[in-house]
Amino acid sequence: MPLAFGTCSESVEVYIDPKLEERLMIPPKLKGEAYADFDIDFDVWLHLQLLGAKNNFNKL
Amino acid sequence: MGLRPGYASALIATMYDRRIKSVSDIMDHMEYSIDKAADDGTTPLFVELFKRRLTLYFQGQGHPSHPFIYSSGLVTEYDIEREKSDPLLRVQHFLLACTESDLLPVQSSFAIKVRNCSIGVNDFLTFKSISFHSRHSILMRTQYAHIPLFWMA
Repeated sequence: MPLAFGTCSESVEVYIDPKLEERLMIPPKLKGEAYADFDIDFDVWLHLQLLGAKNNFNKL
Repeated sequence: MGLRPGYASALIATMYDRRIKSVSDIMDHMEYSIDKAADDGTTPLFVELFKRRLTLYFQGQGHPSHPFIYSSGLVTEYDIEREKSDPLLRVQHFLLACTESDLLPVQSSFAIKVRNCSIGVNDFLTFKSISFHSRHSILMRTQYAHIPLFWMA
């Protein structure tokens, strides 16, 4: 998953993992039992991006 | 009559209290729009599902409980434990990524715009933004609306 965290003058670029995107496109009613796994996967994925951006900011 | 230095700073801090107090302080300022839809017609659904999932993420507390978070090296176990019940942690991180500040903009009318457009369109690079790229010719771009600096005379 390519990532590029920005500096104070750049943008934060976050690339959605293709597998995650496929699962995001499945309507919630059809996700069934797998939906709980998807929820945590999405949360972890996004949280790591934001933590990375925060750490990058703190280094400046 | 002059103000005591400590009183003046407290007064100004109170008047301009820009700390996030609820998730809605961010959610209410997010605007979603579609600039260019994918040919297969899935863009509106994708945006709605992404919006729904993002909202659920914001409403969560603390760091997600997952081994990847612990092993990432981006946060200490002490911080994970200390912040585990923090309902504002995620929106604060999001605001920081979008605006380089964990404080709300001075103007109450600020907007964090989530737009989607074709890959290769970089007409917002003069702004600080966080972009969510996806592969079917779409990227979600969360753009922090430009807000001029406010000066007190």
